Amino acid sequence: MATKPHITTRRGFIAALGFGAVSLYGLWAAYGAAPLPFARRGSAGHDAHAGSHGSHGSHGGASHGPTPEEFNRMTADFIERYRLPDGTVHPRVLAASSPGGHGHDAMDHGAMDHGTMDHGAMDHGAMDHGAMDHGSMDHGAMDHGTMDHGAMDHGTMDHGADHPHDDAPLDVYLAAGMWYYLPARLRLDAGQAYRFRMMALDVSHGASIQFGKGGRMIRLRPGRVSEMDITFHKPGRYLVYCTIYCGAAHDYMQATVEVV
Amino acid sequence: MGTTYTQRFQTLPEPDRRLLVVMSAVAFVALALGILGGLVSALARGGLLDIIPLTGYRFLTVHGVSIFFYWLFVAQAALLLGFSAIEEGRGLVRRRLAWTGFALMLAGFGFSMAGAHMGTPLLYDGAPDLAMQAPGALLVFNLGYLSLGLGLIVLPVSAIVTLLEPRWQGRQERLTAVGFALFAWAGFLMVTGFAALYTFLPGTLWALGLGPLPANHGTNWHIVFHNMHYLPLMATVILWYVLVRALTGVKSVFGDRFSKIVFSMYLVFVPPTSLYHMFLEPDLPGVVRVTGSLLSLFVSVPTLTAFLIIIASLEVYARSRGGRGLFGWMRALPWQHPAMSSMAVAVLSMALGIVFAFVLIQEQLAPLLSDTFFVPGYFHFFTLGTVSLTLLAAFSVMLPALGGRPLWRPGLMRWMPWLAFAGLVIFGAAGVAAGYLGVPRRVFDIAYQGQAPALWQGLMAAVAIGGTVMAVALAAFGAGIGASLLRARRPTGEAADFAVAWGDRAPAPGMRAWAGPVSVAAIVGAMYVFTAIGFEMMQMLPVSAIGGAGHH
Repeated sequence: MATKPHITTRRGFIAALGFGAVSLYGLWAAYGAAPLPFARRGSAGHDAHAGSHGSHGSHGGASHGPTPEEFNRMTADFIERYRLPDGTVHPRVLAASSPGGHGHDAMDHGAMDHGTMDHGAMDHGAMDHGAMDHGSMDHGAMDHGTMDHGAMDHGTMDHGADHPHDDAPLDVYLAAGMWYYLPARLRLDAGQAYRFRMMALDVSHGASIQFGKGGRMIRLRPGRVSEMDITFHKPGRYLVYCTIYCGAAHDYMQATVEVV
Repeated sequence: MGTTYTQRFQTLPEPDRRLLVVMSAVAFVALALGILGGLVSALARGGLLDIIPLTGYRFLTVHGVSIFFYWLFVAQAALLLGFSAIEEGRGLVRRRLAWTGFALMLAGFGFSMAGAHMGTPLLYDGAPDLAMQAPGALLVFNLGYLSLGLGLIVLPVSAIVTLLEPRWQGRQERLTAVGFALFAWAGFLMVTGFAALYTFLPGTLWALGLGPLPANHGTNWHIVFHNMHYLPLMATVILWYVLVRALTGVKSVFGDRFSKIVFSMYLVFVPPTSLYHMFLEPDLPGVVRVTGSLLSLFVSVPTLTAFLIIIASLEVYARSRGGRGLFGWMRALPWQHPAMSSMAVAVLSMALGIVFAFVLIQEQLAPLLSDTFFVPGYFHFFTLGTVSLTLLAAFSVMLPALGGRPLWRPGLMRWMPWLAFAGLVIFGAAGVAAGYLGVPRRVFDIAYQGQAPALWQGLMAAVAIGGTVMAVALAAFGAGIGASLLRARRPTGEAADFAVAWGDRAPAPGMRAWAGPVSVAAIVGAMYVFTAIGFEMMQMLPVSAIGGAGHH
């Protein structure tokens, strides 16, 4: 008869086994979701959800930006610009509004420092992005953290030619309030990259885009611009709903993204 | 002092027994209200009850507040005091503090229930920005939590003094493993009380016009919420430890010191792992998300280790008495006692809860799952299956012994946890599947004007059916145990008649105990499967998304 304790009744064995769930790290690494040299980074879905914004490494920082009122106005301008006759908003590359219009095609969002950029004092009223040469603009070092869109007047700003159909994402504004999204109906092009700029205007909201078998969500806090670069790969009509309980009509807060 | 737990409860001073009975009664009232709120919410959610969403949110508020704050914490407080009082058998020290703490908790319950019926329903997190139009409602609601928090700070002092007094007076050299666990439990309740004050005081000051609208309530809430739903797990494993001894006489074969170390591990591993609730927050830097995921891998360490200690000890004793088979030795356990069934269901529920919790801790899966029905789908395995059934198991031992009636129909009662588990599995399976598919939580009308997939409603109907089964079973089990709150017409005999006494003989050396390791392997394997499902679903989404960070 054995006189020594069986391995399964030894403290070391039990203590080690208690850490068994930590081995899940290996699976994370295999999916590129954990920092290991051999991991296939970014292979989890199509994402690189690292908190930093792709090349916009500094977007994670919290700093000054538009107030909810200003963001609401920016969104209204965006809707006005891209609204189709049926009310759907279709951000797209519009015809250049002036000859020789330059695009953002060579624009490197990595180098531009919005930190020192005071849009508050900028008069975009007569600004024609179509004729503006963003070719040498480097957004890589752009610090959106301290970007002040506060008094930016986008009223007559020509976004039309500022984003030709290439790898540069087109801006999409999405405002969330009790209990609506603006715009409520978006039409987007499959394969086109979009930079969603989103803000909750009153209380906390969320936005989840549903694809039938799973979705993709983000929380939106009042006064904070949340940015996400999104590319849809498949045409379809996708439901967007609010993910954070926001009061009596939370159930009815929805929007539609139609990908064509 | 008596030798069994029953005898020790029976010999407590009458004032202690009165306090414990009153506290237990309040805990059962909170449980009943919580079950009612949950049942209505589940039926409405599944389309089986036609109410407007606003009414649904009010019931959901009552459900969450009653169960999560008052059932779980008043019950824990009562059991902490009860088991501390019998640890040396001399009853409670500083009983007035215990009464004061309880009175604060009871006042809190009243405020919270009143607040739940005022203004916009605030659910259980009480976000101040939802009360912009009715700060008075938030004031009343928050006064409940503040009062509860104060009670949780005051009441455990009585337990701590009760546990330490024998040492101060030289009657005890060191705390037993159970005494140490109770001491740690008391400390955690106090920390929870402080966390509640920290979270809800700013909103209260705003409601009084004495401070700004708290901008970071969401973050504070996630921290307090994390601790409030993981720390009861520590209470759970402590109660398993105590109940196993009460029902079988088995003590840990690994020694008191090892158990003490494991209980202490909750302090190390639980608080730093709260980050995973915030993975969708726009301000959370990427490095914090990754670090949060890595830290969260350790959240299960104390629970799994304590589980292994208990099950290995039981297996060794059972095998020493002729038990056979990988799991066959479990047939010798005292299944006639409802507490044994409760603990078994609690262990199974814990396994499932941990599996799904580990899917949620991966930050890259948060955009798929975080605010979906996956969350209630998984956490009911913890709150109901694991914690609530363990608390009820402890009450089924304590209440009859306090001089109340014998356990009502134990032959029937022992099946109630299994019935609740059946409902829980339906609820959880449908809820987790719904979460993977994107069904939101905290929504009553999920039709979205016909835009939602039809499958969503089917899954929510299954949630409603499962929720109804578990609510009915839990209510019946609670009522059966609660019946022992009533005075016995004649003196109660040994309430633990169904118990076995394996502890009177040391286990044979060299006995193996594979049930625990095999169970942990199965749990970890299931974690791999469900995490991989999440990753695969993310990959299949017809969208690429980068970022999610925000700035002001």
